[in-house]
Amino acid sequence: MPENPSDVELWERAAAHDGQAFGQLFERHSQAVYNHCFRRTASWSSAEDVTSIVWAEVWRRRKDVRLHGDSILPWLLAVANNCLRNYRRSQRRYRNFLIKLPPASTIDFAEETVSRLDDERRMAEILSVLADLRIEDQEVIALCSWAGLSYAEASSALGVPIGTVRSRLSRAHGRLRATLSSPPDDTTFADDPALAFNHADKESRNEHR
Amino acid sequence: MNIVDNVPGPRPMRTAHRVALRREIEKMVATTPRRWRRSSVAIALTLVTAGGGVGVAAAAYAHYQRVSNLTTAHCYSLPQLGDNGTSIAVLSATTGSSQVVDALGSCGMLWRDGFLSPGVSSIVRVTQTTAVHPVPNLVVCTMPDGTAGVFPGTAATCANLGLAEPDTSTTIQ
Repeated sequence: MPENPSDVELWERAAAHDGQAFGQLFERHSQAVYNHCFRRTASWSSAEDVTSIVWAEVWRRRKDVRLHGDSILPWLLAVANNCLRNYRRSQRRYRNFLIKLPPASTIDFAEETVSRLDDERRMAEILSVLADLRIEDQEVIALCSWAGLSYAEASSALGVPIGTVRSRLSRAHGRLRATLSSPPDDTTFADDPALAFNHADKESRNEHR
Repeated sequence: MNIVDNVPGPRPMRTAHRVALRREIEKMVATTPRRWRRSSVAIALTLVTAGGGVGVAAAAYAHYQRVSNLTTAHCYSLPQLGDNGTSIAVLSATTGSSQVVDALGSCGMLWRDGFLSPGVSSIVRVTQTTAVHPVPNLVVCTMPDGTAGVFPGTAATCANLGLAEPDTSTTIQ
């Protein structure tokens, strides 16, 4: 067995009911899923809840799993998006599964509590700004700008063409600029160092895929 | 800097939650019953009447015995042997012996599809193939001819029927 098996190898083993292989995929990607869920909910405890549901849902829908190249992460984030949209329903479906996990009140990061609360406040502010955008535009920002997916990976996660990802991202940033009344409307990506960095990075990654 | 690019940095999940979640999902994956694709599993149902098919001799009884014959398996609808009228479904090995390596799963599929029904000593004619029927607790016993027999029952069923249980070296499940 390879020392560092790919997602493809691990998924093939997991699909054959190898629990440890599924556990390895979990170790590899759970933090990315967890932080994605936080950035969509502005709540660390909700992020824990949804992350748990995501892994149970991935297993329930294992016949539908699509890997993008050698990575299962786009699929995991796609499932996370669905779970976030249907959070209440997912909670009901996995009630018996969730009660087996330590409740959020069992905090083992007491010294971090203050900074985590600050994270939640900042994230809530950001989400309130994003709330004016369409849900699909919010998702493309969360996947490309925050989770670091390439356009191709986001395209796989969202089930839309790459061109649609580009146009949604462009539209989302344009609307945000208008909302925030920061740079003028004719601002390009290159005018905003942060956006320029993200954009160039994604372009570069896309070229290599 | 745009507010969108000022998101809080990543943080790890609580250790207690991460450890518990990994444990639960590993257990879930390992213990989920395997699904069988109806189209890929060739199953021939044969009604074996009294005295036919599998003869059982009490003298052959041993507590543990290896399942050595993987070409067929026998799915019983009652915790009774064939010589008193129990129906038996014989699994064809036309698609390879792997079909009966998981005798428990294969017989469970017949229960789920309604071919076998609790307390009914004959094969049920299934009209609604998409319906899912209840599956009782099933146990595997080693038949005297070395095949696997799957019965509804408990851990004591094999002994009650005078049959051996598959030994630990057997590949059958």
